[in-house]
Amino acid sequence: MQKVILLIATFLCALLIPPVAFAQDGSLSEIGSYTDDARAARVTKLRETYRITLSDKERELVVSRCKGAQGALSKILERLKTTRFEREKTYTSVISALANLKLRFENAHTDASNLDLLIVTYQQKSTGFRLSAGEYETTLEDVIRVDCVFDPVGFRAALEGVRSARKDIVGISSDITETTKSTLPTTFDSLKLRLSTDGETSGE
Amino acid sequence: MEKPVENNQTEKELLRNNPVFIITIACLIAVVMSVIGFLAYYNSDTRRMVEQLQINNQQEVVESTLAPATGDLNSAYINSLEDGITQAVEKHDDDTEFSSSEITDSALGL
Repeated sequence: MQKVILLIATFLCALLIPPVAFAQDGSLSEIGSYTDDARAARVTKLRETYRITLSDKERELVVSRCKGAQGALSKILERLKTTRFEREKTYTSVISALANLKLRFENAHTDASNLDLLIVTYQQKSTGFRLSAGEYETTLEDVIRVDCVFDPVGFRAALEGVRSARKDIVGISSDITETTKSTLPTTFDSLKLRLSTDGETSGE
Repeated sequence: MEKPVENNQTEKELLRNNPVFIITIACLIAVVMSVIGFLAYYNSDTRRMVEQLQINNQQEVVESTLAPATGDLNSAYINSLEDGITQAVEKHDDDTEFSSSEITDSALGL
C-alpha cells in the first residue's frame, strides 16, 4: 500500500511542478508594474515631495476614517478600469478610421498628407492617455494598499499623488477632445476642399 | 504468530482488487489533471491572445459605427466620419469620469 501511495504522490508532484512554474512566469511579468517594494518606494517619494505633517488630532482622524476612504477609492479604481478600457477602444477606433480614410485617399490618388499629422497626433495623445491612466491606476492602488492605520502620513501623501495623477489624465483627455473639436474639422475641411478641387472620386 | 501478517497481506490484496479504490484513485488523478490543465491555460499566452482577439473584434464593431467602410469618397462621407469621430470622443465626459469632487477629503469622509 505504501508503494502505491508513494507512486501516486510522485506522479502528482511531477504534474504539479509545471503549473507552479507557469504561475511564477505569470507573476514575473507583473513585477515591473506593481510590487510591495515598488509601492513603498513610491509612497516614500511622495512623502518627500509633499512633506505632510499631521497634528495628533489629524492623525487620529485619518487613522479612524482611512479604511472607509480606501473603500471609496477602490470603487473609483474599478470604475477607472472600465473608463480606461472604453476610452482606449474609442481612440483605437478613431485612429483606425483615419488610417482607413488615408488609404482610401491613396487609392483615389488624392493627396492627404495632412491626414498623417492628424493620425500621429491621435496616436501620441492616445499613448499619453494610456500612460496617464496607468499612472492614475497605480496611484490609486498605492493609496488603497498602503497601511493607513500604521502610516497615516504615507496615506495622505499617496492621496496627494492620486490628486496629481488625476490632473494629468484630465489634461490629456481634454487635449484629445480639443483635437477633435479643432484640428479634426480643419483637416477634414482641407480634405473636402481637395476632393472638390480634384473632382469627386468614387472609392472602392 | 503468522496470522496478523497473513491478514495484512489479504487486506492489501483486497485493496488492490477493490474496484472502488481503483476508481477513486483514477477520479482523483483526473480531477488533479483537470485543475492542472485549467491552471496551465489560465496562465498561458493562449488565453491572453484569445482575450486580445475578442477586444480587437469589439473594436472592429465600434469602428464600423464611426463611418461606413465602403461608399463614395466625397464630402458627405467625410462629414459623416467627422460626426462619428466627434460623437465617439465627446461621449466620454471628463468631468464625470475623472471627477475631482469624488477624491476630496469630504467626499472620502476624512
